[in-house]
Amino acid sequence: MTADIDITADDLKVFLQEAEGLLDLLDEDIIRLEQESLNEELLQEIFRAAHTLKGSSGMLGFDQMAGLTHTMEDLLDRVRKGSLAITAELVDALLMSLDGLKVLKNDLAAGRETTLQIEPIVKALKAAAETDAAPEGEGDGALASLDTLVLGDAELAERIEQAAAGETPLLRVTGEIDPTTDWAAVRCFQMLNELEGKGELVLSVPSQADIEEERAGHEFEALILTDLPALEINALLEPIDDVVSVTTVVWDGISEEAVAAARAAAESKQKAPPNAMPDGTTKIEALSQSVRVDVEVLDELMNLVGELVIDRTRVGQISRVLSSRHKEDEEVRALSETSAHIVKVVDELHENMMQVRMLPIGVLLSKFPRLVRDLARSSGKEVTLVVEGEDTEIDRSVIDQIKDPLVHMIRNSLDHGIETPEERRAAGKPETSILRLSAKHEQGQVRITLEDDGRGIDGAAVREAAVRKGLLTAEAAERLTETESVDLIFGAGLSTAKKTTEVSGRGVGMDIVRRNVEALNGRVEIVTEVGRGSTFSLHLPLTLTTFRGLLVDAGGTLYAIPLSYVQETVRPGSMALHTVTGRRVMNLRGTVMSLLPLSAALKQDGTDADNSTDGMDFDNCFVVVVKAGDSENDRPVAVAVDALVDQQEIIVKALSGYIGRSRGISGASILGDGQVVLILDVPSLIKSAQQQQQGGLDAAEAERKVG
Amino acid sequence: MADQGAERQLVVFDLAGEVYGVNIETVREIIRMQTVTYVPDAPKFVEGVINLRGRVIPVVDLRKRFALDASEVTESSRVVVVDIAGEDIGVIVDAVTEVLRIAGDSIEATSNLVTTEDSYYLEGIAKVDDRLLILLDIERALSHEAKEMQQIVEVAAA
Repeated sequence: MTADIDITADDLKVFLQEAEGLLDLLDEDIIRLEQESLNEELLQEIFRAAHTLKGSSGMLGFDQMAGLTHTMEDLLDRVRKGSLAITAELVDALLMSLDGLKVLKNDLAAGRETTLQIEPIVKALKAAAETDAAPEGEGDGALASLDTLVLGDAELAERIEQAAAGETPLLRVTGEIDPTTDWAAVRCFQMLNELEGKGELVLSVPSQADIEEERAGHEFEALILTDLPALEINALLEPIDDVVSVTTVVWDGISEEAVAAARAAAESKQKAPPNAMPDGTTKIEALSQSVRVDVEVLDELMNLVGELVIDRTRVGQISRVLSSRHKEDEEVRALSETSAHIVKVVDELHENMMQVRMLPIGVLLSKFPRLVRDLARSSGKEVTLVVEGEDTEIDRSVIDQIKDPLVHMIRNSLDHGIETPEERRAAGKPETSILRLSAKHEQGQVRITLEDDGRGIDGAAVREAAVRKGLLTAEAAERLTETESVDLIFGAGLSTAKKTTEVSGRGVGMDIVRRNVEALNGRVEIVTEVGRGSTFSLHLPLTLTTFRGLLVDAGGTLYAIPLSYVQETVRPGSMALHTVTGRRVMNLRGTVMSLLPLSAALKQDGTDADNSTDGMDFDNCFVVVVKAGDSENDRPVAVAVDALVDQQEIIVKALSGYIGRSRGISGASILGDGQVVLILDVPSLIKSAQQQQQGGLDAAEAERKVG
Repeated sequence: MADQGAERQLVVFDLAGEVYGVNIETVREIIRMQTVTYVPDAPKFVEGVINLRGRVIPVVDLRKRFALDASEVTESSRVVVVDIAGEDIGVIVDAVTEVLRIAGDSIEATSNLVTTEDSYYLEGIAKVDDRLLILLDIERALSHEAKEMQQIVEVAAA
């Protein structure tokens, strides 16, 4: 898309930021609209967003964007005025337009000519409007149905309840009007007129007022308390021109189903306040209190603050040395006071900086209703996604990194976990499955869970698949516990789906999820029950830029171990250390675990001396007991080091890509004295320890006997 | 290989008794030797990582790179920080001696002189006041292809 008028780079940037915000908003709101078709504020918000986008894109001469938003706005206006119903088709078309707008926006941002044709989208939008709206406003769309009216009004509902319980029968009159007539409002008026004076008219749709404003569809409904027999009512109304049929029944209130539906709608409306924002003032205030900042600027700031934190420690140390050396010196005293102040300010700066980088996880979770809806529609499954804990704050860097794993997990649930409506009915479950995605803080970490009520994971099926694909021998498979079998889905090249679908099931997926999450120093767990569903939990650090770490000395080199993996530290003495079939193990209060001398595991001296294990002074060593996770598969490993040095805040620095990926190392950090220390990649260290030790089947057998 | 005619500015350094020059545009800075932290699993000639004003950068031992005898770090040892495809990499040399301007036509392409596997890293030989100066294509000398090349050589030797 090119613009004919001059636009400065700044104008474009402002526009793109605005457009991005509006498109995100529309994405969320349109999905919600499908569930909450009666939420007028939501509708207003959507309408306003489309309108704003149309205005600003038109002003800058982005004609395609303006054209597309214009059509959307038209339709939304009709929905708003009640002459167009919200249907799945309409939502599909709106989402399609939204995708088109995103393409246009991205092309604009990249400064390239767009190849997108908006005409087919505009046509689809108009078609979606035609199929449902029928000429000039069909009944249901134009007006809330009688049921919803009653349900929406507690007073009215109560009155009807009383009326239905009373002696006079409550009749529900439904009159169908010829859909081709232009006189619907007049016919409704005539019917209403006929009913006047025949009893106590409780309610009618359309009401007198609706009819006067010509808001009438091709259906007329009324509730009337009368002693007249139903047939007589029919006889009164049937002679009216264009009235196709009249049905009158004694009504005893609203069905339970309708009540449940209405309650669900009301609940989701209540849960929506942050977006619905009934009083506009708060929203405006909130806007003026925040600024948009480029992510790169934020990252650069974080780097600078990180360096300050490193220098802070150093400044503190030097100042202590100086003041003990020159106790009497005024200047030195002033210097150490200043440095103490700097230390304090830097700490606060760091804390605030971390806070600035925190984002509510809702910015990510809000993308998923769309994904779930699209996947469900394409696979013919019925799924309601419930999102909880959107306010949970987590560092931006983590949010960026967990998007793909979450997409994989959701696809996995939709494809493997959740059954088709037929299967669910056969299993005695509700046809609509509930997929619950929630986030919350837990012990200084963030826990994200994805819970489905689908078929669950059958450990035996996974075992079989693994054996069939040659990932495991049949004997090895037999020895696995149920949990261990389920865990196999995180192995590469395994998929239990009977057929490959568009969604997932090409044998890639869950292994990537685990790898990505572990790369973040996080972990994945599954709890599953066949027939009942599965729950996947991600445990993630709040931030990737700093963590509490334990500094250890191994062979004269310092390493940092993230405290989140550390179970305990002990000084075992030679009594607790044994050698079983050539492997070193430690016996800690009855639990036997593998012993891994750290410097040997990392081949620290750089030479090929594999015997460096023997250089370790086991009599005087310290042991750090680490564990990758909490599940029963995660066995603790004892890491032997020469000394425990300190516990401190570790600032994570990336290791240069030039070095490549080092086994056992996840990154580097810089200490207060400028020294570089490496950060241990605990899960990979544990894995490689186990692989080494399970080299032979004999060794594995031995481990079973001891462990 | 060498661009005939144009004047060149080189950072000149010593390594195992030879004099080398690298294009000054690739050099970001020259710092004193630092404490190097060993990184397990890194390519052999990567000595480890150092702290360059708050950033962790890899350092390469050029002696190991060129399979020369190892030597002790001395007072004159320096780390020449070069920019390779946007990434800073430190190169350990025995000493940095000078910054030199030479005329392009005083450089002779190595293809005429030597044909060893090492000539891949060499841009040419320059004759300056009766001294021979080896012009190093530092980007190639540190590149990933070069890394692979060395690995192949190692495998072949094993």
